[in-house]
Amino acid sequence: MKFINLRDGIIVAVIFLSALLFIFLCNFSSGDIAEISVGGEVVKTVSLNKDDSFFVGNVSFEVKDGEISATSSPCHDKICIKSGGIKNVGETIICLPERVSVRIVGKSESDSADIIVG
Amino acid sequence: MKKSVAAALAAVFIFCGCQKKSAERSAFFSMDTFCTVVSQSDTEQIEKVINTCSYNLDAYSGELYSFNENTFTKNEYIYDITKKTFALNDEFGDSVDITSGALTILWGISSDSPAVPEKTDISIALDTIGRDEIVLENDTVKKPLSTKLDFGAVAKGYACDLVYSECEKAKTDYAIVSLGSSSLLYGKKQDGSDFRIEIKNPDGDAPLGMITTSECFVSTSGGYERFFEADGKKYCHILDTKTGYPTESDLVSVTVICYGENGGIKSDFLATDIFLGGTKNLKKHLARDDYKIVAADKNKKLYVSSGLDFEINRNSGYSL
Repeated sequence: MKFINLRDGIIVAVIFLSALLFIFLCNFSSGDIAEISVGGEVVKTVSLNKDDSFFVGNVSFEVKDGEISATSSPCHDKICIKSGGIKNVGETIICLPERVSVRIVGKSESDSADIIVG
Repeated sequence: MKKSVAAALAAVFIFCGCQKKSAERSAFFSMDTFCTVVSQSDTEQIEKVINTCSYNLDAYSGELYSFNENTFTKNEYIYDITKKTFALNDEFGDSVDITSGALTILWGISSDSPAVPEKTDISIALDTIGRDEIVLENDTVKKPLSTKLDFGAVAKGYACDLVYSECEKAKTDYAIVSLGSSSLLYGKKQDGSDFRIEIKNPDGDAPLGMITTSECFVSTSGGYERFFEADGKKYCHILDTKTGYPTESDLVSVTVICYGENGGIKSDFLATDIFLGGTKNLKKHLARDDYKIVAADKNKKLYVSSGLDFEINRNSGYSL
């Protein structure tokens, strides 16, 4: 008896290829995603491919043309609104007084920055 | 048949095992800012180090707040950061002044209702400022009641130094710790590549450019995010302790990179110091070997230390 016959070989190949496909899909799922957190805890995840508007706490957000921006907030300095629209992996909008933050995740991060300063 | 399925499953497990162990990420508010920690090791311990530092050095609560309502303290964080800042003052001058707390409170630029104070109030605050108001002896910090300490220009960098020590102790492979204006890029990334630091554009969407570097501390200072307007004039949050008014620096953004032990507090201190000094004092900083800078001025000109791997973004509107 041969160690592996043809049928077994096919099963091995199919399982192996599905595993490859699974890993590929996990790592390279397309479309950027924004994670919105309050006090560091992620409370909402939205796709940037679909226009939308919503509130997180007292801060209102808008998703439009693949970007997310803060449109209103009761904070006094409005840094979150001045940040404008963000779309690239690693970019953030932070509203310190309201403890709300947005971070772009998703896509392969290989050629993006490890950190954004300034 | 059973054997081959088992073999296939084993292959899958081995293959999955080859995948990078994804880094842990945590985000939280501490040190009066939004902090993020990405690390291959336990992020909880790093978070603890930052929170403890915040408890001791936050001007609005905790140990520093109590000391400011008092005349002496034996708090080791306050003692250590004061001593280290004074050492930096010896080397770089006293533009960055941790005794300027009364002035910071008076302007209240980070408060809900900032306003331009009365001239007489500014001169009263200025009278409380000065390094000679502070006495350091036997692990004790002493000061007059009216003098208030404010570590805003050094505390985040100092916290990065504490995280650095923690990473050394824990033999961490790699960590990226951001405390807003100061960050630590520790160790070596798993793929062996250098760290990449993107610098935001002070007045546009396209970033200024990208720094590629090995392990380092990075701090930034700029007047374009936190400011307030009164009578049509913009007042930035960085105060000039000589005049008592917000600085009118001709720089808009300063990024400083330092390497090795105590590089955090140094980069934080220098970012503010260089920002306050303006373009006329840049030359001596650009010539230094022990730290590297990227500075942007109001005329959209960039100044970059030689030997720093910085790639300018041509769409930023800034030029070298």
